[in-house]
Amino acid sequence: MGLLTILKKNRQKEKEIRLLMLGLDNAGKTTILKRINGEDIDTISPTLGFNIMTLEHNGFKMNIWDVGGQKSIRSYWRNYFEQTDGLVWVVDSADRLRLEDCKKELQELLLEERLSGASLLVFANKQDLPGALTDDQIREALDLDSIVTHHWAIVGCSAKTGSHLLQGVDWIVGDIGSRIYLLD
Amino acid sequence: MADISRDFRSVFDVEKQSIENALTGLEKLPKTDIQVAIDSLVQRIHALEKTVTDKISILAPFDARMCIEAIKSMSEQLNQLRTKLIPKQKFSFKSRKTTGASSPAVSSLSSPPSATPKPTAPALDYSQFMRFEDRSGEHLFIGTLPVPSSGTGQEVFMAKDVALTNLTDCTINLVHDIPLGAIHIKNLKHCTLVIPPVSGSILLHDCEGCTLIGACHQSRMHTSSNMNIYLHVTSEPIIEDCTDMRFAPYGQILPAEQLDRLFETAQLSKEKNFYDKVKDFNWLRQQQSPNWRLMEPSEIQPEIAAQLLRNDR
Repeated sequence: MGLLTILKKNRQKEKEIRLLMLGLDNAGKTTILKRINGEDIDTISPTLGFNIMTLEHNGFKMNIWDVGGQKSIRSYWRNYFEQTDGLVWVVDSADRLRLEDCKKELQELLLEERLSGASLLVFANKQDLPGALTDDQIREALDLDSIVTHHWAIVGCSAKTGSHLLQGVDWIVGDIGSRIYLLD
Repeated sequence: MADISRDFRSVFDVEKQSIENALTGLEKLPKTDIQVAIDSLVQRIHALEKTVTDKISILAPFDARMCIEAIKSMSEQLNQLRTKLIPKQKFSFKSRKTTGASSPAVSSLSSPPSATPKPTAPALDYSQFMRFEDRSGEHLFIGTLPVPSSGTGQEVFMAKDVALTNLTDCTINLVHDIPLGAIHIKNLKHCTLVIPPVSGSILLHDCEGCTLIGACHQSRMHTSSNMNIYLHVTSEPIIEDCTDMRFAPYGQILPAEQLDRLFETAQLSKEKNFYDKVKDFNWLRQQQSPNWRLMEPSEIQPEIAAQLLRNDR
């Protein structure tokens, strides 16, 4: 039995996926997390630190890390990069004033070596708001089409109503699954 | 615990001293060795930082802070030296050099931007905002603004977002029968502002010397100073890079029945109010932050809202 086989077996047994959810403050990261988990979303405070949630999905055990997005704590994001299988980038689609900021932060993340193997899911959140940009407009604003280093997808969603959240999670779990567990 | 913390500090200090020595010696190295030396220093600083992060829960707060600051200063020093000693190379096509640990992902992504000159972000489109900007010394009432149309025929029920930017010495009244969502506030100086209960957040940047009266789900305030804030907020409000912020409860800005109805429309709980649980992102400790405080009862001026609202009845 070769080393590779052992590693593969080991990985299969666990079938664990680590997702890291980042984005500017007020993007709705915690709300997405709580909505997916069916928790109350009315009293969510801005995140000082992080939240973790573990859930089963399509036979995978997902650990989702939701890290606060305030400017002063973004420098701590890198403490969470290690062993990330998927990056979920959450965008407040109605926050036009800070789209440039949002693009810059995302581009910096994509240069990060420790995230180089991760799939990227962009949630264009807050589609329920009347002033929200569509997922296509967000794709253009963040210049996602120029990303060649990562598998990526963008999904317009609303954490408030819950629409399309599962579609996004399905994509990223599927993409990671097909990559890591290719030889199942 | 104090011992563990002290022991850790002495181990930490030895490595720190050694890194600092290496940093000062960096300039004397031959050019060809610099990149390698820098890469190894990056790794050492990272490794040191990791030991601090691992031990952070058992370190005395003072030690933890000193360690974190030392690491930050070393990283900054290293970055400065890096830009000084390794001039940016002009872009050209050539086979990829192995530059050590820190940059394989960089090189594969760095070329596209210049190749395809695309228009960056779509022009800021405020058509969905109700907004006031670049005014001074005026009274501004939201009832005088046109209600933006979203084209769905449901304008009346959809909450509208508001943007207030670059206002000086103004009084602003947002209380009207239009339901409001998020309130984006930027660069207000010496203004007084009354916001009805809204279904979204209040987001505030770069304000000074203002009085703000508002009710919302989330309150996020940044880079502002010397503010009086009368707040009803159903989650913990945050401040970041702010000084001299004074908080008080929202108060009865309208007759009870009318106010209850507004709370209901905005789906805000009237019972929950976290105005006194402010979190300061620049003060991650147990003790009270010096950047905010609650107003003394004698400082609270309930008549401000009433006076401001009276103009627009």
